[in-house]
Amino acid sequence: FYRWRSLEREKSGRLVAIQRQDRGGTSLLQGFRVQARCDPGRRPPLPFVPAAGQISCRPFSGDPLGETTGHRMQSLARTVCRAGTRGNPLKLMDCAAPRVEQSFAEPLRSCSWIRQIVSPIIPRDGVQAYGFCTRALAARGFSTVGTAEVSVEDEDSSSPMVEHPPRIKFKRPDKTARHIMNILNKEAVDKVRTERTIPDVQPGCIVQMRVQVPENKRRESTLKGIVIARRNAGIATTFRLRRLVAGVGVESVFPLYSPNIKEIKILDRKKVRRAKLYYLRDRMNALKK
Amino acid sequence: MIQPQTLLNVVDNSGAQKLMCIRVIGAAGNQRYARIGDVIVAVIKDALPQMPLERSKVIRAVIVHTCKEFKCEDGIIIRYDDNAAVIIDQKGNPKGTRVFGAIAEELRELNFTKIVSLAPEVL
Repeated sequence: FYRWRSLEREKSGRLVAIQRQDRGGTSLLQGFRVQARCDPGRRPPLPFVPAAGQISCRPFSGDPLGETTGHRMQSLARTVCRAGTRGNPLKLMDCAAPRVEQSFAEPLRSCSWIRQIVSPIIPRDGVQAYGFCTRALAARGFSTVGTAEVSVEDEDSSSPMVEHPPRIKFKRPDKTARHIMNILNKEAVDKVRTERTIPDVQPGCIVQMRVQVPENKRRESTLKGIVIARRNAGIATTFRLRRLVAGVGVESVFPLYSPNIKEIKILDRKKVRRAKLYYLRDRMNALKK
Repeated sequence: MIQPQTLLNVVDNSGAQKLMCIRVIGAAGNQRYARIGDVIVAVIKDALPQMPLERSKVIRAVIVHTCKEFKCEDGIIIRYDDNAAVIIDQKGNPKGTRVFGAIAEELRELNFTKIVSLAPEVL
């Protein structure tokens, strides 16, 4: 961890300078005080935010960009201020962080300022773990080891001025992954829709479709039946077609965006008051062939 | 999902009307269910009169319809409204001369080509 010792106080009692001591050495920091709340039972956070331009204190010689910095990254990441307000400490950190990487076109929010902190690592400067409080991000299941590796590859085009990157909210990675999957799904659906027009098949439609079986024979069979169910799942949207085949009722489930379905034509729409028409299984009378 | 004691319809003109499955061929310890294309051992429960096949005779049959969904390889799922079978001999040739109903295309790969060729409609 680190230790800090308050050196100067203003008249009002605000901390303005502290002396920090950690693995890289001691350093003198000037900054301003932060009102930080914490849960009872936890260590109170450091109520101090170093001002801009004081990040790199000591050369951290001989430390390869490896586990130590990764560890630092983690401790750094864990110090998304556990102060009560989520947004303000980040803004303060922003002011404090000296170098903002402009090259990151789409930085995720926490990742962005983590990368800002990492960039001093690249010219082998010492990085301070601000250590406001621990386990903030870890509590949210955030892992930063990956981001440390990513940012290493980026160039070190740092500008000494403080500029704020566009603020993108970054939720938990599983939520982000789900969001990305939704986007991919939508893209796939749009891609298929631009190639051919697929009508809106709803339960109750009498539908005639041409299906091609590409395995053995290149023949197109025409199927006609009533749609009794539709399941929406993006590109895997399926609908259930019920028809009478040679005296036997057959239900088939077709993927709506399958390339084997050459054409879907809606012949009729029946008024139904249900999304799934499974009651038609008991009624075999008026089924279309 | 055909298992012993399952009643099946017969969709050929061999004379039998209803079968009861007594064994699934290839099932280990009678744990497996039979799907479309599996061979079962069945006993004839109901037959038309004056036909070569009689009641309470043990024969083999291949399943062609199941109420349980059957997944094809191109993502299409087929589900019939009844369970049905075609009576075959030891080699796999059908005993009847006609087949009724729709037969799934997958039976062709399982060496039941004769049944598929006799079918009025192939799914």
